Order: sequence, then structure tokens, then C-alpha cells
Amino acid sequence: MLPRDIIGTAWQSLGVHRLRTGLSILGIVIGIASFSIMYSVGESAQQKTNQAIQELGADVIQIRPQRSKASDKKKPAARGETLSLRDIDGIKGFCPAVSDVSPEICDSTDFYRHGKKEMLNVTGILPAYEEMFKLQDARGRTISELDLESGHQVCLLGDMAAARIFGNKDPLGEPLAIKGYLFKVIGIINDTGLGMANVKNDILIPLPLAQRLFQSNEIRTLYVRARDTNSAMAELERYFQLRYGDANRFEIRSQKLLLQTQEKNIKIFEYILWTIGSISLLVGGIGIMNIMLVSVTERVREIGIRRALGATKTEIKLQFLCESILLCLVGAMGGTILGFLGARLISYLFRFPPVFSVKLLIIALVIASVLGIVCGTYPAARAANQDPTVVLRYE
Amino acid sequence: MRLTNINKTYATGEFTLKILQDISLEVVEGEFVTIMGASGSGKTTLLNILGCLDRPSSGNYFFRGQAVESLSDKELSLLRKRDIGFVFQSFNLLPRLNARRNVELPLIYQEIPESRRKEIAMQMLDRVGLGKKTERLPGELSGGEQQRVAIARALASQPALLLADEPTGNLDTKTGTEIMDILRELHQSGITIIMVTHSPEMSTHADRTIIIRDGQIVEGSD
Repeated sequence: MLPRDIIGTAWQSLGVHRLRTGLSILGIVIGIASFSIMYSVGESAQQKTNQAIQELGADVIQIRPQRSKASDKKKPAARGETLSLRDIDGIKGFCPAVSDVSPEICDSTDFYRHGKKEMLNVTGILPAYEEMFKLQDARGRTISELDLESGHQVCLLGDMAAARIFGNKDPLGEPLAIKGYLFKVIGIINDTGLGMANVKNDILIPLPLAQRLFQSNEIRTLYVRARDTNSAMAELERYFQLRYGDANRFEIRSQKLLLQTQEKNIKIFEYILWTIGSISLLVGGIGIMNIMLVSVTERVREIGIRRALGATKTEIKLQFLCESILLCLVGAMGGTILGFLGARLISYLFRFPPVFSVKLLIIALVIASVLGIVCGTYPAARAANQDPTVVLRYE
Repeated sequence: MRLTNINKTYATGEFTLKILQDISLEVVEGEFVTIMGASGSGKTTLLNILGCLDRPSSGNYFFRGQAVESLSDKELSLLRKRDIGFVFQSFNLLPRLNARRNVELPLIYQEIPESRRKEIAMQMLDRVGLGKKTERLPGELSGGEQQRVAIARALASQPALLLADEPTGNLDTKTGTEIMDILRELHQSGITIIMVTHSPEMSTHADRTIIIRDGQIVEGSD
């Protein structure tokens, strides 16, 4: 039998019970879709992480006072337990592996828009912060040294914050009241995404103004850019040990660690999809085997006729094996399409850049072929061993 | 074609069922032989063995000089597709394939290219008088027409032997006679025909009639 005829005959047979065929490949469809989504999301998260490391640098370290118990959260920290502006020069002087230090003061404030209360973060920063987190490409301009020296009441908005306060109106140059003081919007920052500085929902104002506005000198967070992350971490620990007597009172985290945590989360997501995918493929494979066995039983007479007309056992076996492989391939195509749509949805929801590749399609088709062979072998062998004398029995 | 001391037994639980006992038979090329017998007499089993669909439990079967019992499954298939054509009582057409594609089936297993296949199929259908209904599905044809398609299919690979199992059993007398006319014509063109039937009038067409009773030949073995 020519290969073309084997495939043609198999394809024809699949067309007979369309609904049954469709249902029997659902498991394969879902399994392959899970794998596609997993691959696509994993790949794109990897890309995004790499991009974040490139943009922000893996060399940013975050320092925060440690809050050991949940009940302490509301309690103001005791004197000497918080970071202060003096630590900036202290760290710069003590740690040669540190290239830059940038403080952050944070509080929240309420806004009313169309009678609805909105809560937004107000963050006091220095120009070093903008440089560290590459916020310079804002629309408009960023907070400068001149703004600090002259005490200009200006602010930058994250893109989400801008949308929440101003809606569709262009906020650039507009006045904005924060805690009763009037600020001028000078720039809009687009999402910087993965990393420590997620300023989408933030209003950024000069640090000295924030201290006066919040009536507090407490520095919530210090960001440090390191020349070498590992030695900078060690030096920082020593600094806090000497300065405050206990380095454990501060949480020192590197951007690298943070990204690793994020990667771990993505890995967990991948494991879940792996599990769903594997189970679906297993169940799908059993479904295929089942439908093939049913098909063999139904077509005993057809098998007999073909045998009487000269088909060898091998040819019958190949025909059924080919049907099983075709079933799985159709399932894999469906799964790839579903996975494509799913990955698009996820990339839209989580703002990942979507990743698709021909490699993925090829992998899916290879998996499907292997599954088709594995699940089709037994039914095909049964078909081949059917007794051909059945054709001479009357119905 | 020579059968010597053919036995066929089936083991069903504790009993051993003897279907064929000590059958010896010789059919020369070009003969038209009918096999008659009551149902259950073993004539269908004999036809299965003659058609190389089944193997005897013991005994020898020589088909055109080849010892059939020593052939592998592949060699038996080769024999079937090259030298033997089947016509069945219940036609046994594949219902999803049209008349032409049904006739093409044995040619597919001979790896004959599609265009040549189509040509042969058309020729054969023309020969049985169905040249105008080649694209009809079996369900759209009458019983007589379906049996003609089946004969065309059996002839497609130009076999030396045509095995017919009650070919007129599912047909009314008039179409039955038409089918018999076709078979007689084929016989005249030189094809060996072995036909199972239980109607004595059908066997009048034959050169020789073999009567089987309880798995044994009672008349016409030589």
C-alpha cells in the first residue's frame, strides 16, 4: 500500500464520526494547550526578567527597617530604629562597593474623583532615584536638583495614577492638590514593570517636601546601587551592625534576589501547567486508545473485506496506527491554537510580551505523533489480528 | 488446485467440532464448479480455505503449484490480491466509498498508481454494465447493482480464480439470473469459478457439482 493511500484511507475514516472524534481528542487539545501556554509564558517571563536585569540592573539593593511582628505595623518605630538621611552619606563613606544611594519616603493620600475616593501612594524621592530606576524617559520632565534647591512644588505621576486622577485629560502642567498643597504635574512615567520600583500607581514628589508634608523624617526605604552585589551586601551588613548594633533590624534585599523570587513564582505556575498538561495528555491518550478500540470492534467487517482483497496484517495495522496518529495531530493543532489564544490572554492580563514560535508547534506535533503511536499500537495490533473469515458470515 | 485430506476442527471448550473431514478435491483451471450442501455442512469453511482466508487444521492445499500451508501471512495476502477474487452473498462493499472506489480497493493493495487504478475500475464497471453509475455510493444502488460492483471489484486484479459465496442469495430471481449470466460469461472468458449455492437450478450452469454433507464430500470430488 502506498503511503499516500494509507494516510488518505485513515483520513477518510476519521471523517465518519465527527462529533465522537472531536470529543475523543479533547484531552489532547487541553494537554497541548497547557504546554503551549506554559512554554509561551515561561519564555516571555524569562525575556522580561532578562530585560529587567538589563534595564534596572541586577545590582540594585533595597534596605528597609525590619518589622518583625504584624502588630508592630501601625506602631511608629522607636528612635534610632529607622533609617535617616544621615545613612546616605554614612553608607557612601563606609561601603566602597556602593556607587549610589537613593532614599524614599512613602505615604498615601486620598483623592476624590467624581465623588469616589481613590487612594494613591505619595513617594518622596531625590533625582538619584530617577536615575537608578531609569525614570528619565518620562513624558514631560523629571524632578531636578534645581527643583529641590528652589523648593518647587512639582510632581511626577505613574501612568495608572495619572489615569485615576485625571481620566482622559492630559495631566501635564495641570495643578494637583496633595494634602492641601498645590503641586504642578511635570511628567508622566510609563510602567517600569518587573523590579523594585513599581511606580505605576505613585505620585513622586521631591523628598524634602515629602518630609514636611508627612511631618516625618523617617526614611522608609533606601535603594543602593552596587558595583558588586555580593561585596556590597556584606559591606552593608557590617555598616548596619556597627551603626545600629544589629543588622537584623534591617532587611537588605537585592534586585537579583527579587527577580529570583519572581522566577520561582513563574516556575510554580509552570509546574501547575506541566501537571495539567501531563494529566490531560495521559487522559487524552487513554481516550484515543479507547476510541480506536471501539473503532476496531465496529469495523471488523471492513477489516475482513480489506484482508480478503489482499491487505496484509501489516497494512491493516498501519492503517489504524495512522488513524490514531492523525487523531493526535489534529488534537495537537487544536491545542496549539487554544494555547496561542490562552497565552495571548495571559500576556494581556499580566503585561508579558507574547512569545510564539514555530519550535513550539513542532514540539507539539512531535509529542502528538509519539502519543498517537503509543496509544494506537495496541488497537492497531488487534485490528490486524481480526479473523478475516468474518466476511463470509452472513449478517 | 488440489486439496488432499483436508481437516478443519474448532475447539469449543471440551468439545472438538469437526467442520471438515478428509476433504480431497481437485479443480482444474477454467472449470466452473458449484459446491452444494445444507447450512452447517461446512461449505463456507471450505470456501474460506480455498480463498486462503483460513488455514486447514491438517492436510495439504496446492494452489497453482504452491503449498499454501507453508506460506506466510504476507504471501497469502499476495496470493489473494493477485490470483483470487471474492464475491459474497451480502456484497460486502464499503458503504462510505462510491462504486469506483470500491472497485479500486484491491488495486490499492497492489500499489497501482491512482490514475491507472481509476482507469481499470471504470473498465471493470463498464464490463458489468455499470459504466454510468461509477460515482454512486452502495446505498444508492439496487441489490443487483451492488453485486455487479462486487463482481467488478473481484475482477479488478484479473484473478485466475473467482470464489462466489451464494452470490444470488440476497437477490430476486430476475436479478439473480442476470448475475449468473455475468458469471457464465466470465467463465467462458477463461476464469475458474467456484461457487457455493444451495439452489440446484444455479448449479445447472456449472461443469460439475460437489455435494457436501456433514463436512464430507458425498458427490463430485473428481
